[in-house]
Amino acid sequence: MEEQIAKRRWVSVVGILAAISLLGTVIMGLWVTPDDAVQGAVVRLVYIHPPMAWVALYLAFGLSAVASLLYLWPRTRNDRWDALAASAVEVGVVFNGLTLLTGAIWGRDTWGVWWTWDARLTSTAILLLLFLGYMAIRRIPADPEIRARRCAIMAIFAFVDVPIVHFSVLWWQTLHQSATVLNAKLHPTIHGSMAWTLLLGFVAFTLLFVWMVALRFAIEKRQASQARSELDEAIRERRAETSEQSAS
Amino acid sequence: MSYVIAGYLCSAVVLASYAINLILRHRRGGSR
Repeated sequence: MEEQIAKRRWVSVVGILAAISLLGTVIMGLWVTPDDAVQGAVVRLVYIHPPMAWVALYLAFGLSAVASLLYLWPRTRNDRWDALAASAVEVGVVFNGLTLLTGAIWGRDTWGVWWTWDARLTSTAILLLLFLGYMAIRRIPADPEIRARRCAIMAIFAFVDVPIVHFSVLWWQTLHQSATVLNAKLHPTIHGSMAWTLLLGFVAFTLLFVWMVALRFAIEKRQASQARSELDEAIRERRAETSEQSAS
Repeated sequence: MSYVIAGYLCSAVVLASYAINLILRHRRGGSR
């Protein structure tokens, strides 16, 4: 019981820190940082768009791939890994959708179009479809173990698209710019208050991700234990019916 | 600036909705 309370407190603290840092990012991003010399005001989307992509691609889908590998590995197989992968995927899909949405808004202002079949954009859209496929597979009624195995394979398969998204701006000629921070030379091309605000954005969205996955993981575990107790109840009822029939 | 506001506003609405959804599901005991 004490452990549960401590866990809840830990999750609440992360949630509060996420809210404060997000508020800080919005204030810095909208009012404190300057406009870009080339792009003007629309550059302010840089404080939310890349951090959302970071959460979706590397944190959420990366975590789901690692948890899925740990589930498939016989020595580390545990239902918790399956629950963690499912939680990370759901949160990742929300952030992946927002990455595409904020990217489309940015594209409309800088390129003049909401959407173009650019390698970065297309591979990111495919990534969203792949993980929506994961969520669809998860809803197919099946034995929990079979479902977990199917989902783990799907998560690893879908994750293959993540390096394709990352390197798409280098492998193909794209409208989308190359990396500002995680570039080949690891030399960020952003400075001053803009760099600090971007860093704050990364911290804020990472904290939000941790908070969301922690809540989603608790829900997933509770759903699994409810399903198990419902199954046990159904088996007990069936056995009682059988023994009544054989007695009569 | 209107595109920037649209981006921030859409993100805030989606994330707030999802966060409320998570909190409610968590309080209701994990039911969908």
